[in-house]
Amino acid sequence: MDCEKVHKDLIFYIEGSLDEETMRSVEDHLSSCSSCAGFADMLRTSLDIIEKEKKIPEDREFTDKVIAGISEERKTGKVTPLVAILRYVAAAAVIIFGVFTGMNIAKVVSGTGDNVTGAMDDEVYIINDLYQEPIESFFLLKYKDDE
Amino acid sequence: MSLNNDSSNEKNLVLALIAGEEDAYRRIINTYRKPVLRLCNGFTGSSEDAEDLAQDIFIEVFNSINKFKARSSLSTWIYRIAVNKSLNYIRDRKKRKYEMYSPSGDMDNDSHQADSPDYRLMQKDHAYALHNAIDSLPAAQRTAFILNKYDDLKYAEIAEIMNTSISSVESLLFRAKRNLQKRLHDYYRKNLK
Repeated sequence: MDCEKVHKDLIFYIEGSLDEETMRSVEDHLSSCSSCAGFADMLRTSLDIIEKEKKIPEDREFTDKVIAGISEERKTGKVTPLVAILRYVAAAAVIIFGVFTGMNIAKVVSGTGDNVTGAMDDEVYIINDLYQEPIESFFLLKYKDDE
Repeated sequence: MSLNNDSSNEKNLVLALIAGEEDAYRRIINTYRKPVLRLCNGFTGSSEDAEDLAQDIFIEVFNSINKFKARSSLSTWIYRIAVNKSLNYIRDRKKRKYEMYSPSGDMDNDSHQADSPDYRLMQKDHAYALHNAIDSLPAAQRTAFILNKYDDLKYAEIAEIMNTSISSVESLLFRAKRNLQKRLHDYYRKNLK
């Protein structure tokens, strides 16, 4: 095995993820090539840094810092997730209420309530007394009384 | 850390987070502080930067919890936020400050050699070389490498976080290691002879 081939596979050799035969070939090469052996040592030392950086010490203050950070953000105007959801729900409720109210008013004004099918008609009568006594006839009657 | 899939506990925890319960915040931080900090160490190469970044990540998690749709596990979702925040953090940090590098964890305490100035200098050199090499990797390779090496996640878990296939993760990791090795070799040849 030549130096170039060993260099390509060295990181996998250090991980121990090469097949048995290749592991042995790399090992043989390293025992007879000081340049590759030196590089292997340096690579191993650098990869060991990862193992050291993975050790996270206990830190009880971290949690308090995060919670203080959230409280600070909320004080300065940011809203809690629950409030954000409630805002969306309230906005949706207002829109739905507005649409239904608008539809009912439109039916009354245009006098097309009869054309609306089935069960909806009854609800419209109950909600809108004006449908049973249209405003035009109210004025007409009043006009007659005045006369 | 293995990804937690206990769905009923997770659902209750998410509801408590949405309600803004401090106890739920503490549970999340206790569970994910170490994995998130390990990931941040991998991306930043600095324990101080990692801690600042990890705090930002948890605040983002709590402020965005109402966007969690349970299409993935909570841990996958937290990891995604952590990766995105880390990549943005690195992108925004114009100039790397490895000369201020402070080894994280128990690096200074795990050996009697730690007191030696030469040992400490050598560790700093290797950490500098390693993080320069990691930093030079394309974002996807870097992410897969850090999730695998720093957080010990399995290929399937990395694939879920990165929203890709297991074979793509294998390929990303293979290329990441080859590239890392090449960059380290170049660095040693230039600087450590």
